[in-house]
Formats: sequence, C-alpha cells, structure tokens
Amino acid sequence: MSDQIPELVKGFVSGDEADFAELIRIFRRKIYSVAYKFLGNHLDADEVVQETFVRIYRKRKELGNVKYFSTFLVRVASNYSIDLLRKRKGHSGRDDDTNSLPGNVQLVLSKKVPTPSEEYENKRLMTEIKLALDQLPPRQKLTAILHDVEGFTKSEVADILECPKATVRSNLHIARSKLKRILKDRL
Amino acid sequence: MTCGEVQPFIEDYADNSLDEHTKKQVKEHIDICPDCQGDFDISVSLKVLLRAFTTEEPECDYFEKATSLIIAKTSSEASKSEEVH
Ligand SMILES: [Zn+2]
Repeated sequence: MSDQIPELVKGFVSGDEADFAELIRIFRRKIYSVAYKFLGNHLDADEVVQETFVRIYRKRKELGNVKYFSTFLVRVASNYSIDLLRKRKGHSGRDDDTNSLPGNVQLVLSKKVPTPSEEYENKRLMTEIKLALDQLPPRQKLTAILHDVEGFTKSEVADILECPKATVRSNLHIARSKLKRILKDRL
Repeated sequence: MTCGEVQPFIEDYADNSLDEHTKKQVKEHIDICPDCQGDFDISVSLKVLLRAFTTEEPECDYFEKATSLIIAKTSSEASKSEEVH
C-alpha cells in the first residue's frame, strides 16, 4: 500500500482529484485515531480529519518538497489538534460527548447491545488510560499517543512535531513517568 | 553496570532501541537485579497497556461521509479560485 503513495502524491500535486480521494481513503483512519485519542471525542476528531485534508489540499503545491507525506499529514493534524485542545480548554469543554463521562455512565448511555462483563472491564480500562493521558500537558500527551499508542518511531515523531529527537525522548520519558504513577494499579 | 548506570537505559531497553553492546550489558544487570527488573517490567506493562488503548469506532458510514464533505469543500474552493484567475 505505502509504495503507491509517492505516485498518488505526485498525481494529487498535479491536480488529480481521484488521487486526492485515494490519499484521503488511505490516511483518514489514522488521522481520526490520533485526533480522537488526543481530543477525546468524535466531534473534534471529525473536525480535525476534515480540516487536515482541506489544509493539505490548499498546501498541495508545497508537497513536492515533502519527503514523507504521512508525517507531513500527521503534523498538520497534530498542530490543528493542539490548537483545538487549547480552544476547548478555554471553554467548558464539550458536554454533549459521552466519552468524557466515567466508564459506568458511558456504559449506560452506550447504544450497543448489552455488554458482557469483559467488555465492561475493558471499557473501564480504556477510560482509565484516557483520563491518565488527559493529565499530561499537550506536547507530552501527543508524544505519548504518537509513539506509544500509534506506534510512530521517535524519528517520525520528531519529524511530526518539528523538534529534535532528544526532545521526543525527554517528553516521552516525562510522560511515561507520570503515566506509570497514575496507572500504577494497572501495571 | 550499576543500577544508576542501567536506569537511563531501561525504557530504551523496553523499546528495544538499544545497540547490541549496551543491550547485552543492560540485560546482564537486569537478570541479577530485582529492582531494575521490576522497573523494566513496569515499563513493558505500560507499553502493552498503551498499545492496547483504543477509542470507540465512529458510525460505519462516517469515513465515506467525511470524505465526500472534504471533496465537496475542496472542489468548490478550486472552482472559486479558477473564477478569480
Ligand atoms: Zn539494578
């Protein structure tokens, strides 16, 4: 799949709309996943997905100089996500989102069919991880999500966040130390 | 290696990102030191936990809908900028 990306980017830069659509199809899940984990709700993740691809479209003329399309894309998404998080923190946050509620409340509101206890336990665990990540400052949170959750390498994270690899390492170390403390009963 | 010397490498060891030489030295220490072994186990557990972190899937037609919206928006921008030129 990934070896077709340079060709698709080339086509997209020269104005091929079908190649743009294909690039969206390839990367939309990844962008959604990073944004949802960082921002914690569907509406914001959706906004990030749409805005990221619209911005990429506007910047397409610059893409000829981009070495790695995927990290460039995640960079645009990350920057927008950080802006959005700051904006949300200024306000009271989104109340319409069930995912910000404690696990048991969320369960009651879930549209899914009755949940077995395993799934309930898993949901609780996911909520705990989410709340732990929420306690980190934005850059540390994003570094942990990109590297430890989404599996980007330290070099890729450095490229995405436009910082030295040493900064990624130190942010990761601080983030992990905090997470170990917060999640100690789970480790 | 002493505990103090090993500590800065424990996370990298758990990430499997150490060079062979350092990896061997760290492993030799961890094999005989329960404290560092404990720290290493916690690092690995955290990694496993975070890799397992998932969020809810959106509705099944969400991605197709979002893609259509993006394409509609960018096409209308493209045709507008053509009108200007
Ligand atoms: Zn030791």
